[in-house]
Amino acid sequence: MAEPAAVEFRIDRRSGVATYLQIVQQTKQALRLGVLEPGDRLPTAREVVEATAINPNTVLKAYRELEREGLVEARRGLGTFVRRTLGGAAEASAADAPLRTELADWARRARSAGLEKDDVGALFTAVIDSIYQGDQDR
Amino acid sequence: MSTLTRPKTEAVATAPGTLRGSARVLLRVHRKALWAGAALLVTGIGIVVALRVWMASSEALCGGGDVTPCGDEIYVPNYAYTSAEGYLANGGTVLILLAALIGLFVAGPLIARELESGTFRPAWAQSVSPAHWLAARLAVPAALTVTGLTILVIVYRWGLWAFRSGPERYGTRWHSTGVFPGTGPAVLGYALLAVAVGALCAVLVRRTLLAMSLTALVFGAVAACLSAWRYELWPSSFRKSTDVLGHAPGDWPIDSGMLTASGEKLYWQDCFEADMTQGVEACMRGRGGIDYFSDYHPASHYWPLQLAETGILLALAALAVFAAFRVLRRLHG
Amino acid sequence: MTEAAIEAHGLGRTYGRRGGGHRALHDCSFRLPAGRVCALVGPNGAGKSTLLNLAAGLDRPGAGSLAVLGSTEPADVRDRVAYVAQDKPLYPQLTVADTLWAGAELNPGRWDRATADRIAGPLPQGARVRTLSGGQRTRLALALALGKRPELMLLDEPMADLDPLARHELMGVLMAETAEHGTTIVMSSHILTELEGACDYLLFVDGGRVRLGGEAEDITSAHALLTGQAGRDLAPHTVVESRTTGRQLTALVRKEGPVDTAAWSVTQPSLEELLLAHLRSPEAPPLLTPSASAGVRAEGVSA
Repeated sequence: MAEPAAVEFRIDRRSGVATYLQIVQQTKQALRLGVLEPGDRLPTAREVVEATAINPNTVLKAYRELEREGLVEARRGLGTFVRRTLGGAAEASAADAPLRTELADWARRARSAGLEKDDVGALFTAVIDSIYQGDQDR
Repeated sequence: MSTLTRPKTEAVATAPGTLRGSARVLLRVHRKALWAGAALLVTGIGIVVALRVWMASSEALCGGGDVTPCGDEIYVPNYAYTSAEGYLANGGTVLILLAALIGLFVAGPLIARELESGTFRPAWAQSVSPAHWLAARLAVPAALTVTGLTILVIVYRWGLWAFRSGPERYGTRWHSTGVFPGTGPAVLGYALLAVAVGALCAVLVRRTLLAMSLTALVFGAVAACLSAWRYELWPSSFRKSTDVLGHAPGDWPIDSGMLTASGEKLYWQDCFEADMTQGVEACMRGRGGIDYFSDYHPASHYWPLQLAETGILLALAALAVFAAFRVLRRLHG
Repeated sequence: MTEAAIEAHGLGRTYGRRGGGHRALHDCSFRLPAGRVCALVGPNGAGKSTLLNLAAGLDRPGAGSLAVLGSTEPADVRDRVAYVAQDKPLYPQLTVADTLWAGAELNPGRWDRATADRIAGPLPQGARVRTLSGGQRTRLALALALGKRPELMLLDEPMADLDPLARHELMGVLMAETAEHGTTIVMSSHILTELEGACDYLLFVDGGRVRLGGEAEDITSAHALLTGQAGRDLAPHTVVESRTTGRQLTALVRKEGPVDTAAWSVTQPSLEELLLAHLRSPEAPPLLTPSASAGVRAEGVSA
């Protein structure tokens, strides 16, 4: 491979997040932050597994997921390349702005109701878990 | 993206190559033993050469006690010659012991220790089949031993050649137990048998010390039997006369006694308990002895006896090798 | 990917005397599709080493049949199979360099010198094998195994002697090997966490037979950890293990149809929880996914 890969992945075995999802998320994060740009080559499965000691099928699964979402494309014999960038930090926060305002209001109400930071965190996680529960097995 | 591809078998496995590789690895692993073997070979040659030099340097001392005839048929013992005779009289035994040593080495360090410690696994898990693994462990020591012992046999015969003239020396007669096996191909048969028995014992018991002990036992038993019944390996010659029979130099006397009129054999030893005042002769005659007879191997029987013994040893060795491969195959495929 | 690297039917192996011998394997059947990285797990004495020995062609089964890389005589394909035994036996009197040279000699025509040298690189080349530490011996044994470019690697407790750094590095090397060449790898361990993440296939051996076999993901998703009120009926699910604490019932079940999420709080067990539950419940029935069932031409799930 003449051209070095643009990113490398860090795998946290203890995070509880499926390994392939960590790769998907880290790729998306790199796209958002502009670390990865269209035309960049993702590391090959061999490069990833040699550095992280994870199963190659996991990497392939993550790349298939990214390909399905249209973010990357596999070019036979060449590697996997970034096709397009993700909305970008500004756009994303613009879309998120109303939600963020509402959440901030909610958090202030929680504090005035006497909840500690940890209590708020636990409550938030419990609600998120119950709402997103069905999505996890995907 | 790198994709999962089935590995292609780039190279066709070259079976004969692994035998050669096995042999080369074996030689490297047992480099020290190889040096020790070479040292033994050099020592053996050195001893014989030293004895010949010693005898040669003392040969001129006639009158002071030389072995060569000092006029007429008078021989005077000479220290160098009697000592050399003493050593060379056991040359055949020493060579058989060397063969046994090789057998012990094959049984112990070469095969059983690998089976015991598990070092056979990396070899077999490489591309070497158990059969090739064993074949290398038989062929390499066999080839080296045959080469080394052939040299020693030649050197030994050259050592005995010093006694070609002069009186018959009891210790170094061709048929003497300590000489005979070391002067011809028989010792090579002993070496191959030792290697084969060593291999068989090793794959059977798979314990270093046990395999070595068993090898020593089996090999010792075969050697003892052959030594005891060697004279039976070829039909002996028969001679009869009306006079008491003496032995020609070079004859190997087996049995002697007298014949009755009907041709029945009477042995001297049957009359040893007879009344000594009459003498054994009278006892024999009393039993009907008329003619004297002698069973013996003339010197010309040397080669038939050597070859018969070698043949038996090789047949036993082949059996042991066959059995060793069978055992290994049954256990490991 | 439907080709089988290993396929066993009713495999049995008994050590010692007839009758009173120790049954290391008994009626053991499974299938390992090619190209997988398989964790061979189970308690000590479960039969893992015996199974690897048989697959490597170093030992013969007492009963049943075993096909390796399509050959019913595992010994015939030994040049395509690499095996690293648990005690990593090597010739103690050879140096590291000599050992690598021996690897080349013993694998004429297939030896990949660059790979072997790369893996053995950190070792002192002139040192005799007998002076190496356990971890160094493992590294050398793996260099020999990878140097012969096998299609199937059988590794018995490969990571046990390695420090965390070397473990990570060598596991990475193994993964790169399978990524590049599609090498099938079987790694045994009695510590599952050592292998988690690297393996996508699981063979759980206990009491001489395979109790769980198949894609790691499929095996975990076939089970569920249910928490609910004591006294509730767990039917129709197969209960692997259940425990009642006060009014709470916790059960690890094999799902037989949809789980009633109103009655139960459902979580997915980790592979480790799953194995522990099976170890505690020897009577739980075995589970082999279609791809792991001997005699069935199943489709690889990841294909």
